[in-house]
Amino acid sequence: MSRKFIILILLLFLMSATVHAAKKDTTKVSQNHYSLAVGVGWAHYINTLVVAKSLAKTNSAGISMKFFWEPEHRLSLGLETGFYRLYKVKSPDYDINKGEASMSVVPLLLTIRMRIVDHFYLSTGAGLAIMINKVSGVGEQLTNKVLSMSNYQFSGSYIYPLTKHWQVGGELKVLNYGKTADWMYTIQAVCAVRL
Amino acid sequence: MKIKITYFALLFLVFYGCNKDTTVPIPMAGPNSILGDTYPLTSSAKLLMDGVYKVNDGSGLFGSQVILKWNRTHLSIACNNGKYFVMDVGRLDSVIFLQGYWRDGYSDGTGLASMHIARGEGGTMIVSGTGQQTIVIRGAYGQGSTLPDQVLNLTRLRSFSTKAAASKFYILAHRSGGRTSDRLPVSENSLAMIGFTERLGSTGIEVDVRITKDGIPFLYHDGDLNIRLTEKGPLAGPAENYTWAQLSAFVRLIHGEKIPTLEEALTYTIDSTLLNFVYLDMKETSGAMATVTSIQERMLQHAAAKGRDIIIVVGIPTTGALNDLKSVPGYQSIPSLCELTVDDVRAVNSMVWAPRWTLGLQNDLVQQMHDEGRLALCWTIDQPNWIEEYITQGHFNGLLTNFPYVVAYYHYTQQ
Amino acid sequence: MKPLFTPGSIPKSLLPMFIFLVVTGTSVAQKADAADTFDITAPSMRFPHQYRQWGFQVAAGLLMVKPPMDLLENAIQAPLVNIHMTFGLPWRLSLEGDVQTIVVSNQFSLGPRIGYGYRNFYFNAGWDVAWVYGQLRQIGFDNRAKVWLHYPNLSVGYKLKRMAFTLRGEAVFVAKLTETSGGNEVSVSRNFYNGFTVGFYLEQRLWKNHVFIFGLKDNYEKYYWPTWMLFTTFNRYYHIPELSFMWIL
Repeated sequence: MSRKFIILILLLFLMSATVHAAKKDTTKVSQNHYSLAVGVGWAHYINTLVVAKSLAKTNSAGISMKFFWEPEHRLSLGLETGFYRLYKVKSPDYDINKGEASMSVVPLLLTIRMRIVDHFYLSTGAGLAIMINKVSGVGEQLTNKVLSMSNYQFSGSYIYPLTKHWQVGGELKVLNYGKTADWMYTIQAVCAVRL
Repeated sequence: MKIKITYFALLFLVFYGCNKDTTVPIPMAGPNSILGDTYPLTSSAKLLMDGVYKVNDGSGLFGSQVILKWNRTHLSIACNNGKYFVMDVGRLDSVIFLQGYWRDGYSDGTGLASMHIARGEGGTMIVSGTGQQTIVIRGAYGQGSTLPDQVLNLTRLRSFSTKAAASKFYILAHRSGGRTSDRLPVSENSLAMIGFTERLGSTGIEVDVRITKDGIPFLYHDGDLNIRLTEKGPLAGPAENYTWAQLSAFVRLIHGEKIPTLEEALTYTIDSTLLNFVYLDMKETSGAMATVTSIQERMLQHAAAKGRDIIIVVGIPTTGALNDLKSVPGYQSIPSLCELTVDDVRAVNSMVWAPRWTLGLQNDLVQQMHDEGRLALCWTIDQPNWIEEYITQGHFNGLLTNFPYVVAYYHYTQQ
Repeated sequence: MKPLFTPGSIPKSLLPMFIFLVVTGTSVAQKADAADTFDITAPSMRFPHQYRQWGFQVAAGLLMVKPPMDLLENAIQAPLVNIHMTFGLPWRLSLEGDVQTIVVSNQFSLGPRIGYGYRNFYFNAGWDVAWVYGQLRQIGFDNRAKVWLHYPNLSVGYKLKRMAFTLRGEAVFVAKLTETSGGNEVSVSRNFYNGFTVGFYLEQRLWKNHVFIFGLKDNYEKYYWPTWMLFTTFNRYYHIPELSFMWIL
């Protein structure tokens, strides 16, 4: 087989492959993916307590996990959960009764995320949250769980792809928990795997 | 794009923050009020002021007719449309001065009110207790905290009818005075509300009773600790999951009060008010009836020792509560209020039958209860037209309401 | 073995052919890429464009509502289900229908629109008539509400090629509100201004050419239909925000 003939065949193949790829969908490239992201970072509770306000510790570590379906366009749809300790307080008469209480939360949110420009995303979500309340020192130690129905999340993130599957980045997120009218924000380092 | 989303997210936060009001502020007359220089009225003088009055000026807001009724601390004026006044009163020679505020119970309207009764228009008669004069109250009202500038004049038409004055009709205030959503300056189910409620025209109260994990009965309505009833604090979930010490340490009601125990609430009611009916609405009865009825008995003995004529009844809202009461030894002699059927009333020998108002007037069953020496109330009735019907056409001994001033109006204007 | 290609071994006659193939191939690919002819206008719903004549669209989704504290005592805290429909008519007209439900309370609305577009800006004005029916049974009560409402509305939209933004405002008037409790007519109110709503909507593709609508709306109303049968005695306005996630089917 002559060299010219081989080159011609290769060129024809490349050309037809390019045209075929472009015509296959109305989008540039088929990008239907799933991703799982884990975030860890600093969480701060915006202190709106009235009882024991000045005695509250409002900084802690927080963790989040998100599973996204990423179709070929800018939007992604996903589920988010995590764990945040909102605050820990001492009772107003702590010197007498040594009472302490803390509130933690596990959100369960349906989230929508939009790519604004390359690697930069905004997202919002709504859903449920489990509020976990612990008391100690004043009588027996108790843990109570309460379901909060109206909860929201607003966030911005920068996610950079290291490889075809692995991504890293950062996220700033604000959350609201309707049951207790609590607000918090968190800044997290994020690591994601994309399938 | 990003800016737009951020803007609307912030708008969302603002909108969330716009519903946080829990009080309509009571407008105050200020430190230069003339009442500082006046003398209080005697009990007999106060009785002369009670009555039905015609509204000459101000009827657009307050209706054509109002009732004036003294309570333990203040003079209350009740209208037929949900508006009411709470007035401080004092005299200087034979002139009587009234200063206070008006409030719309169905919305947030409020304002200052300032009036007087001139010497020749009833002042002399009220102070001296002699003579015949038609009482005319002249003054003005305002909006919000602005000085009164709208004319308000009242003329006394008559005393309360014998039917209205003589009957022992119980005007029961729901949750001891009203709900958080009624935007009163004190919290529901609190000692502060028990002390406040008579100004609204109440002669009795309904309170909600729960029990802590360590067996202390306390007053609280909702199933869990929440920001509707309490200041934001670190506890959440069912109040019954916590001990009394924990609730005391970490929970304050929406206006800063501590949650009262049942014993504290009843002691305060007997010692510090003239309320004559307390309905203990049992939110949880399993295992609680014996404890609550024991406190009830002790408080009735305390009231008797003080010469107080007061009814304290434990509520039976469900068949479960009925069975819980039956498990208490001597239950047939425990004063109780049964919300179920008249047969259930008889089964536990309840003092009071209290059906919900939507079941109708049921005059025949009410008469049966009266024939058996029992009382009959109904709950919780809030619409002015229904309150009027139930008072004028019904035979109940009282009504439970979130708007005791409306019930007071229709009760005292009966002829 | 002699290599297939060595530097300088590509025949000169093949070079023009190679360039020709690359250029045409790229052009075709660009044309195929430009064949992404998707334009958000036609498949959008909230965006106030002129709908395809006799064309029918339907979207379904959830509304997450934050009821005010006064109504929280007994408010049903669950997402509302929303189904929205459009039907294109001639002469710039269209019909829009909406069904919202939280089971114990339901709203059905229908109304015409007339629209106009200028470059990337589009406007429409409409008037919806709605009927609400609610029934709630608790502790032996049987509370029901039947309400007729009017929603005159205005929408302004701006579109990019693949994204549309809409700002919508509507006034809320109650024509007749009847509330009963246990068979007793508790209140009847007629012909009053109930407040207004302002909503912002973003529409774009989520998957293939299926459009997703994200909405943020504030209801500034006295009586908010999902919760109003619970309290018959309030006479004050509340801000009630809604977050909506809808999918055009």
